[in-house]
Amino acid sequence: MNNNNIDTIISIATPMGTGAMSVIRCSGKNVLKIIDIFFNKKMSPRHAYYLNFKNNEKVIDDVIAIYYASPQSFTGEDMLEITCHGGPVMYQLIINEILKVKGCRLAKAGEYSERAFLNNKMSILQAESICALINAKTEEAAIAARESLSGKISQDIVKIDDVILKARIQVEALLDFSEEDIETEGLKSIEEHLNSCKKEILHIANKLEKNRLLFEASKLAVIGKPNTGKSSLINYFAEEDVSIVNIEAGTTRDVISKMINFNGIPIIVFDTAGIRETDDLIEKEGKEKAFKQATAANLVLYLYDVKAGVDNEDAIILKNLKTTNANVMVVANKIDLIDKAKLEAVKADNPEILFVSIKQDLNMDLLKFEIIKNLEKYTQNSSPGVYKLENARYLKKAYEIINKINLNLGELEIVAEDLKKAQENISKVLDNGNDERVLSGIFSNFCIGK
Amino acid sequence: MKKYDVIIIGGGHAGTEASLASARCGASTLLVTQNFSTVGQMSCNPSIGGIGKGHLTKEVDALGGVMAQAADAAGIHFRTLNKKKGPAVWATRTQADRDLYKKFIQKKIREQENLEVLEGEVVDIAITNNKITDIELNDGEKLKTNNIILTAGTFLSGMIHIGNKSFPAGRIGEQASTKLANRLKEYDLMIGRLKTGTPPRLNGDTINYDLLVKQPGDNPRPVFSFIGNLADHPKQINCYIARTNEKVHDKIRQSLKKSPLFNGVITSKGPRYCPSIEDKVTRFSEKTSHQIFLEPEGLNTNLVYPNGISTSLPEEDQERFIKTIPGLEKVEIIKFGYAIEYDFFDPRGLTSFLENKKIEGFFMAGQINGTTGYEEAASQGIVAGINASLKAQGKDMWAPSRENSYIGVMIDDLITQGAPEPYRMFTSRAEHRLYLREDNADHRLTKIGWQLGSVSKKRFDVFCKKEDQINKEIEKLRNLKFIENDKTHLASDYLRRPNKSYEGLKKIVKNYDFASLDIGTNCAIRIKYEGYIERQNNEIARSKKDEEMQLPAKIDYSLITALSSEARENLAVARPQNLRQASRVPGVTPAAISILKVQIKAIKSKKKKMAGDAK
Repeated sequence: MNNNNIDTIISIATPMGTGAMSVIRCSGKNVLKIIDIFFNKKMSPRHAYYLNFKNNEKVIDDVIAIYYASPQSFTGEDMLEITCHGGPVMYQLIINEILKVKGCRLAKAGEYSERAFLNNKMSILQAESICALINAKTEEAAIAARESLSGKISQDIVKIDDVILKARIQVEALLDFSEEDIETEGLKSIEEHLNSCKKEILHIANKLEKNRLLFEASKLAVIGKPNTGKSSLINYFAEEDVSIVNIEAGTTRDVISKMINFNGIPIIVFDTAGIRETDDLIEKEGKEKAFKQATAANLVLYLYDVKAGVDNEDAIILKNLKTTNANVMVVANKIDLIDKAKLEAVKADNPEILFVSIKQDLNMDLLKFEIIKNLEKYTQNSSPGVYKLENARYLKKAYEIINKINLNLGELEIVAEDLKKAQENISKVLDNGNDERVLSGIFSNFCIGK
Repeated sequence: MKKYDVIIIGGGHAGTEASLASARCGASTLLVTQNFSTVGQMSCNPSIGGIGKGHLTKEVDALGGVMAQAADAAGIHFRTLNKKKGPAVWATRTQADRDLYKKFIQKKIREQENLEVLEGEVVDIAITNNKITDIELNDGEKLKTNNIILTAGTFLSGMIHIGNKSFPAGRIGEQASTKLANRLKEYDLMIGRLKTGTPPRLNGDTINYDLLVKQPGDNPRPVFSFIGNLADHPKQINCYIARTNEKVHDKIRQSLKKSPLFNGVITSKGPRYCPSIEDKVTRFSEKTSHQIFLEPEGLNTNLVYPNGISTSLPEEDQERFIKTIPGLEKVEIIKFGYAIEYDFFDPRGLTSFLENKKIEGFFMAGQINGTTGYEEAASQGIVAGINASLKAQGKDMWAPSRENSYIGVMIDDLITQGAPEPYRMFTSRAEHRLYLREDNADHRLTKIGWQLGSVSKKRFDVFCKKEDQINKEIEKLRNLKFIENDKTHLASDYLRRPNKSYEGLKKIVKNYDFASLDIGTNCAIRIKYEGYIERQNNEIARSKKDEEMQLPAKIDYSLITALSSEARENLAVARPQNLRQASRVPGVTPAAISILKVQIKAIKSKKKKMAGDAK
């Protein structure tokens, strides 16, 4: 076997958040070591074992594990598949434990296929398609990274990158051009740069961790005119689910979000302010925010009061909604408040509408079923959460490096190495590794040249 | 027709190191130069070394080169730069007496076995089937050789500018090699154009030193060569620092229109780290004063090199602004400053052996490859000399690496990224700065040089003895315990702390048989960095196998559509030999490396399959 790869790679193989199980896979030389450390059992290849995944005698999860011996595996290397209980928390716990084993790291986009190909497990015909796959995966990863880093956080990381760069320019100028007549801001300003860096990174890392849940969940927006039962609906879902997570509200004051868990699918529900066609400025603002949530959501539930029927205002709102989000499910509430014959007539006229009573728990199971069915499309197409996991890890690494820096002139060259390492980690998040900018920065900031 | 194993064209810093190295390694070698009396000439500032450059000089020395010894023989003002920072960035620099320097180099050339010198101009290089066959001189004589090293510096299509005057020249007062340049243009080589500048030369007897800041040399004084000592140094003298002021800047600004750098006559790219004084006052207009190092050109000359005011203004304008500088009011200008534009060959056309990728036996070294500086030139010279010699003798060539030397960093940068501006060494270019130090250049390279034949028995013996002493002393230091503030410390732990030295240890520890300060300092530095270096080495080992995957010579990058167009274009020009080089090509991302890996494998499998089908 042509094994050029020293690292053992690991990642989650199943889409995030789905179902009751997650599959983790790893490939590489350390697989037997991993089995020994966490299962402490000799496993025959290609046999499924029901085992406890343990860390120092502490059981983390009971799992199904299968070991594939090289070369009879997908990649041609030793491989291990662990099927654990579902949900992002569990698989990340396990991945984090395995990453502590020396020589293990998270897999890059397309890396399993790449290794499979390099180890003669695929034909040449597939070479081109693998290239395309690596590319596609990279783009996907880039998009995922961009999404998870959307807005403020992304800007904040660029800011960190910039502060580190500034510190490096000062440090490198002192090292390479000490003979020049340059007015560097000196160690004190470098120290200030480093401190602000540390503070920023910690802040972002925390934010990222909080937001990770947000990004891995499906988003459901509940929209409707006032008093159509939006809050009752959310409370209904929330009461069913004992594991309610109260997460930080989005960027708006009046959009309240709750994290719920439908059959293992994490869903964030946005409760929007009731909207209506109005000139009132405050209400207008609420409406805009509601529409913004609707745009970002995977699914929009439009609630209306069956008693009042779909009036003109509803029609206009619905029409607008459908231009911003194609996936709108219309739900008629309060069916307990109209008589049966009338209900049947409306139902017959509107077969695509779901008729429920939140208060009386009528047809609520059906609603839930439809929501899950609808959202599954998204969860199954989403990319594994490793990228975001990786990003948090890079930030943490950068922080650890900067935190350990002992700034003094006598070891400035070591400080320079550490800063470079820290920046490499940030660059991995931003995908902008170009070291020429340090020299460029020196030349544009200082008058160098005797 | 006379025949040589290796012929070197050009006797500058690249050419002399190349000639000596080729001869040392055992090839019959000829150096062709226009004028032997200019061999070893320092045509720009009279100094050797500096940060990054001192590192290169020591590496050339460790490989058996002469630059550091010449600097010791000619050095009149030695300093260790960056002494307040850690030892990895300590750098030796000396002002050198031009005549002593040149004389030393010329003596070495005359004494070298296997090396002949011929005065003449090469007008043609004959190439048959992409192989060098012979060269032709201006008197019509032809010489047979399969290996040439072209080190023509700025002599190819050189064009000097002073104010509105422009004329072809190699250096001021010396002719350019226009014929050879025109001949070379007929071959499909990638040629670019760069510019550089030089300041005027002053009569030191007309400088008012009372108004200047005196800068004496360092005490203790460093020695450049690993086999040199203080006794090699001539008499030491002082340097002086002058400063410009706003009045001077006003004069320069008034003349800007007449500067070819500003009026559009010169368009080629100059170095950002070596701007002309016109550039400085324009780009950093907020700076009210610039520093000028007044560097004496030698012990027996009144010539002074004012480092920091390179200019191409007309003569009268140069005179006007220089005489406004405090201390230089009455100065006599002996030679005026100028800018020079010259051709260079895009170094992406070279292999890491410094041989042309298309023409076998055609080596190039020095400024002609887009670098600037004596040390950069000498470093390439020694590599080209060693390799041409090895090739002539049918032996394997040698490529220095980014992990073992600044020379390796430089060559790798040049062949993967080209020279968008004249290339100068900075320590920040090296990934392994903590390992690539001046103090251990011999540790890194002398054994390699010995195996290649470039290092003499004498030098190798000195090296082995020193290494032995260092290793023994390090073992002792690892076990040496002492008590300080009621606590027991290990000497090796003490030396790892910031700002601690062997000298410092000597003051604390009694009853220990200390080694010499030189050996002790070497030990202390190695101990200080060993943890960091071990970590770096682990990283190197992890990626090594992948990086060594060879890229097929004929790979057509334009067909690999999965790569970005920027990566495709740059790869097609640089044509990296392996994945490691490819990863340094601009635009090549980690994903692109994965794609290349798959391509390499696919091409190999296709070949195998075709070979199988043919059977």
